[in-house]
Amino acid sequence: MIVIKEAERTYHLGDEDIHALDGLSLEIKKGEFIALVGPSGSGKSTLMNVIGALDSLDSGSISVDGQDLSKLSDSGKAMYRRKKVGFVFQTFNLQARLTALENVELPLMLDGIPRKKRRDLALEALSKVHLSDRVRHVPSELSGGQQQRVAIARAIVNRPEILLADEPTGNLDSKSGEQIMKLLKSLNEQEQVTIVMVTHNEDHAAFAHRVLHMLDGNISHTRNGRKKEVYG
Amino acid sequence: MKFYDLLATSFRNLFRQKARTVLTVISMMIGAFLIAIMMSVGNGLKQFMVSQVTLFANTSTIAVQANVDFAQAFGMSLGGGVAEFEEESPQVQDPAGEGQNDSVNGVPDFLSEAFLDQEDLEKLQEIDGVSEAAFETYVTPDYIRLAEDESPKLLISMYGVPSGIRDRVKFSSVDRALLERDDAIVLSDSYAEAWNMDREDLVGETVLVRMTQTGDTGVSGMGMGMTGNIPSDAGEQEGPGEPLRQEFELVVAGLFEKSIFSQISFITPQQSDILRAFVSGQELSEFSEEEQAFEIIVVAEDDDQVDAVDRRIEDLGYQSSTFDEAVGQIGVVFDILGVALSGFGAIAMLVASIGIANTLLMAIYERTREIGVMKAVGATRSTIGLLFTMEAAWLGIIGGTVGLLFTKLFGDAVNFILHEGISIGSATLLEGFLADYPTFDVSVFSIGIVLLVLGVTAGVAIVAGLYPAWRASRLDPVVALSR
Ligand SMILES: Nc1ncnc2c1ncn2[C@@H]1O[C@H](COP(=O)(O)OP(=O)(O)OP(=O)(O)O)[C@@H](O)[C@H]1O
Ligand SMILES: [Mg+2]
Repeated sequence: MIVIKEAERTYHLGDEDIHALDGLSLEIKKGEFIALVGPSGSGKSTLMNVIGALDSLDSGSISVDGQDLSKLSDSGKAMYRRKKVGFVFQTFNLQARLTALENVELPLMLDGIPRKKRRDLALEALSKVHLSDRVRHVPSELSGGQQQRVAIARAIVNRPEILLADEPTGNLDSKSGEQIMKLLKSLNEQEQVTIVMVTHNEDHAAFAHRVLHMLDGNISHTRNGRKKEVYG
Repeated sequence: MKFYDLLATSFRNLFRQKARTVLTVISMMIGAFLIAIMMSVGNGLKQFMVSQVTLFANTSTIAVQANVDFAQAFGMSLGGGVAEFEEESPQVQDPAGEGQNDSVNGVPDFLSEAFLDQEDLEKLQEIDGVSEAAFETYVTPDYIRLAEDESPKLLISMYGVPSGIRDRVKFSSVDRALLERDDAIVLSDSYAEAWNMDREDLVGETVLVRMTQTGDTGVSGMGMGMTGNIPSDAGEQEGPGEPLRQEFELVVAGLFEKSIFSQISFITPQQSDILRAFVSGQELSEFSEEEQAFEIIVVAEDDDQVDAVDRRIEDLGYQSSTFDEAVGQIGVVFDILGVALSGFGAIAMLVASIGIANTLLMAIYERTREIGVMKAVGATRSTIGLLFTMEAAWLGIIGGTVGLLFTKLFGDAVNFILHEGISIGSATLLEGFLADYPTFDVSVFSIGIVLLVLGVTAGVAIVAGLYPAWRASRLDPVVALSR
């Protein structure tokens, strides 16, 4: 359970104060699939970074399963990111020199898991994203959709409770985007992974339980997702 | 992150910008090479000098001199100041304790204070743990020749030394039984060459040394080679006519490995007395009684007692130095030389460290997004910092290793060329300067050098990597990911 109260995050650009998060409060239940929509600059990515403990609040609070994130040390935050959350980015952010398998192994390596075990876990994660036949390929040998699936495998290899996906389909064609969405949906349904996803795509937002509209650093309104046709 | 994974990952990162890595390694390598080559040459020269000292002394011997401040005696003073006059300025201590004020043999007073005499010799011989003691003396014959053949050779000096020194010379050939004899002589093995004989054949041969009576009393050695020829006060020998000459028979008991001192030899103190008595024109008994020298060589009963004996000698008011002290002094000189020359290496190392810092700062710039991703998937600041520090260490260690490899190859090549010369077919392009000194290498590589150079290169590289590592660890992941 993610609880955010009165979250403020202000950036200072010269004389100007940019309120990226402006008094935002939000609760996300375990196993929920949330879509964040809204205009550019409305604070969607900032909210994601705060939930992932990559960024911290100026005021207000955020706690995850009762743990106040602002109370975590640097290594505590690193541990939290390693164990509790997985990140998926619009631009995939795979390491170009490493094979799909090695990319997926990276979080496990940072976690100090022995070679053999991390190989097994990474292969398992890659099979979940249907890439068992591409594990020795480097990113440049993979399509955009395949690269994003490697990134998802990397995000879930540590079996995190929360998956943070910032425009995961933003750089993909509609067919690949659709595949990624189905993958996220099955992760949410079969593994009860809490998903927070930013998207500009209405169809993709419809995969979520709740769609949060953001404007000027706050949630302007909320509506239910899950159109019948998607789940039919 | 596991240590092994840190090592492996930072090592892999070296291959991302190969050209840059190679250039950085080369600059480190040059520094390592300069330091290592200076040290191994220093080592070589030190070993050579030590091997020379070893001819005259070993771990059981102590060189004893009177406690005289020669610098002061000769009017030298550190700092160039002038001492105050004192009416009853005390005399320099006379170790013999005789308070003899008159000059000996017309030698200035302060010099006579520097002599050790029969009484000193007896005192030293009686010290606990001393097996023998003898004046360090040497005498120069006109020539040395084989008994049955006329080919006189020059012999610069014959040192009268106790058996404790004679027995432990580094022999290339020896007959231990002959070594016990009073008329034994130990020569450099270059005499075997000079007489065209096998070393083994020369040992046991009878040789003749010719002495000329000059009326000089015994020549006293002052340390190695330094000498004062002291005119006798019975100086009437310089009469007209042919000086008195005589050949003395000696037996070659052993040959020592050729060194820079190839024209010296060792005889017994007894033989030295006989020869010098002849030169001075005195009776042996009379000569021995009045014998004096700058230095007495004391031999301890065994090596373990040397330090204790050394202390006892100093307690009696003498100046003494053990083999270790003598070698230590030589060592210090060469160590200082080595360090000074390594300065060039240090400068190269400094340049290399700037190169490393630069390389890593560029790497941070190139890897900003990647560092952001690493943090997003759970890397701590210290993991990122360690990765960069280790990458720096790798650059240093690889540079150091390659530098050491070059040092070894270069040193071996130089040693080989200096021993063997360079020749193509039968044409000699370069003489082997060291052909006569088979056991001397100019460059002597050692584990110590390897450890020191690797330590220094890794250390310097790590220090150079600290700032980039700190910068990388501090990168804000949000900013890094948005790049
Ligand atoms: N590091 C930063 N420094 C200064 N301003 C920032 C920084 N990061 C974000 N901002 C500002 O904060 C506001 C919110 O940014 P954010 O990235 O959260 O928007 P977003 O909703 O994700 O937009 P988009 O849909 O374009 O990704 C924007 O005005 C942005 O310019
Ligand atoms: Mg954004």
